[in-house]
Amino acid sequence: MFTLSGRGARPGGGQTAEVMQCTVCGRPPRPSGQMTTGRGDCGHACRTKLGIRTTRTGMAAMRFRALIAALSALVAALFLVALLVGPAGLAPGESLVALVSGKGDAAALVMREIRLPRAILAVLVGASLGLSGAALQGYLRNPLAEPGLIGVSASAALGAVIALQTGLAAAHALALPGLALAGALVAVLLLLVLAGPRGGAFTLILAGIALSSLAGALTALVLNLSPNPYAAADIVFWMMGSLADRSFAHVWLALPLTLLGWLLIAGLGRGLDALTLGEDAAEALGIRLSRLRLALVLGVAASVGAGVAVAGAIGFVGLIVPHLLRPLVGARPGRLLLASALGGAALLLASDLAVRLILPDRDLKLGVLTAIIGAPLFFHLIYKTRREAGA
Amino acid sequence: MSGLILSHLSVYRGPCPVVDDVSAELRPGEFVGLIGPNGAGKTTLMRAALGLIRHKGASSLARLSAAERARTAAWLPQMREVAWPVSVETLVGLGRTPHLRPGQRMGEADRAAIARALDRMDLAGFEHRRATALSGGEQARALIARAVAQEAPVLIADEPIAGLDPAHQITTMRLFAGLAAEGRLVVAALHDLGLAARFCTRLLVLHRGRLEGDGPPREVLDEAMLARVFGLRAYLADTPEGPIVQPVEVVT
Repeated sequence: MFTLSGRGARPGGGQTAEVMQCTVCGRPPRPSGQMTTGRGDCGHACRTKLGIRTTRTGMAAMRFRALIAALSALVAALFLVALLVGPAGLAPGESLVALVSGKGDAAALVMREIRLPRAILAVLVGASLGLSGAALQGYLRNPLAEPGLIGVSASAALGAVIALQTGLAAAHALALPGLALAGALVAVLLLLVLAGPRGGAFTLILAGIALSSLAGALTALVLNLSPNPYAAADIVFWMMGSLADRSFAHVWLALPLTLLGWLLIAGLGRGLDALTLGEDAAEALGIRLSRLRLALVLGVAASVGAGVAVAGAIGFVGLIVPHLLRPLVGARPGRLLLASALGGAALLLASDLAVRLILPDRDLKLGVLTAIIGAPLFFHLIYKTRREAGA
Repeated sequence: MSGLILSHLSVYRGPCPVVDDVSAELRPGEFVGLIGPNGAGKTTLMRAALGLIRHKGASSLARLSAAERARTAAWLPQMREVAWPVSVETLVGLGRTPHLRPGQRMGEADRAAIARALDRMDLAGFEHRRATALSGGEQARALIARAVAQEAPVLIADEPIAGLDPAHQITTMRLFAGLAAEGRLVVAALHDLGLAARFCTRLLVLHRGRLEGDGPPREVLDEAMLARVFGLRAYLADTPEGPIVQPVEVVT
């Protein structure tokens, strides 16, 4: 057979390199690693001194902070404008004074009972949609994922439709959002059973599609068999999604679940970043995928379920906002979460303002408007993707 | 420094064993080449050794908690997946994930590890390129750099050099040999028997899930084994550059 002639012939074997010293700090490399160039790569802080590499990384972090600051300012400004615009035609100064002091009966009532809850709900629902969309896209590694994908929105809508059809909604103000939340809860339980505790992303999508279709079919059945045309019209209009005539009761109903959902999703950033490398690599990086998926499903269900319960199904926000902001955060799924939440809040506040300004007396539905804005944005994204692919 | 001890490791797909009773003690300082024809169970063996799939028998890595294992072993899957157009630096930085506590940001040591890994994979200057815009081979190197940046005592790589140009195949094998010489354990599934023979310190031959050979390359790679396991006739020679294994013809 063949034999090796001598140990020294082995390539890549024991390199007897003399101990190198860093040209910046004059020290040998730290035990954690190996020096290759000797120019600041000793593992100490020498690269920073040389201004190598950390500069642009630092710039990326600064750009991210600037983006977050800008989006926060945008949300704050839109929130303020949302408080100042409405059919009551109050002067800006008058309305703010009324809001803070509570004096001036009619104005205070309009501000505190109509405009403030409406603006708060726009922030809550918009942020939930943006956050959930970003988290789902990150988890499924697919830019087409959106909060409705896991079937919770459709099931919450079914609950609301049943409340409208049976007349419970008319009997009690909170019967509709209550039943919608029940629908979301049933959906999430079914989803977890269907998708299994250890299934991957694919089973989750399949289970979500199955649930969405079933809830959609049952909603259609309710409409189909509805003996009362007024109830049917109510249902159709409710399903378009709106924030008109919501009160603080709706805010208090949605707030705890929404916050719980945000909390569950907020901790997923690092796992979603690691998933950039695929499920196998992420798991080997110490990410517990079954736990991540459970937190994601519960988080999306709680925040989006609560949103649908109080505002109806509002489409495109959760799809388009992560899409628009992704290039601005260097495509990092973890960073996209916060940016997308703020972006979603801003988009929904702006859309709800537009609804009030464009056709103030026709009750233009919010969900209709977001779809009308969202679809052309989507066309643009398709065009851009095609151009990048050179096709 | 930790190695990897497999005892009676088996993986079943239905009733069929895909990995059948594999035992081996892999020590720090070794560069172990895992060779075998397609479907021999190389990937399954490595995933089971990491505890990523259900298995019978024991693996010293699979016993660790997820976080501890991630600090002990870096895993480079065969599927080269980069889901988002992140920068190469961000991609390589994902290797630092196991070293960060929840909420902790990357520090100077992490950035130094990233820079070292980039240098070693000949990717200096690529930091701010989008990983999805790289060529296939460059992307493969960036993903290897990610695993190297993890700086774990054990590196397990599934066909790391497939799709690299010849020069980068050799530099990658040399890098792995260098990591092993530093006292790490490197395990790589390889199809290039020539490079495996030249650079690995030890070869494990897997055939239909069973361990059919284990030892230094020149002892493992003989005509009988190549014919039986790979169905190959090869030109074998010893040169001052190390052993040469060049498959020549298929034997039936």
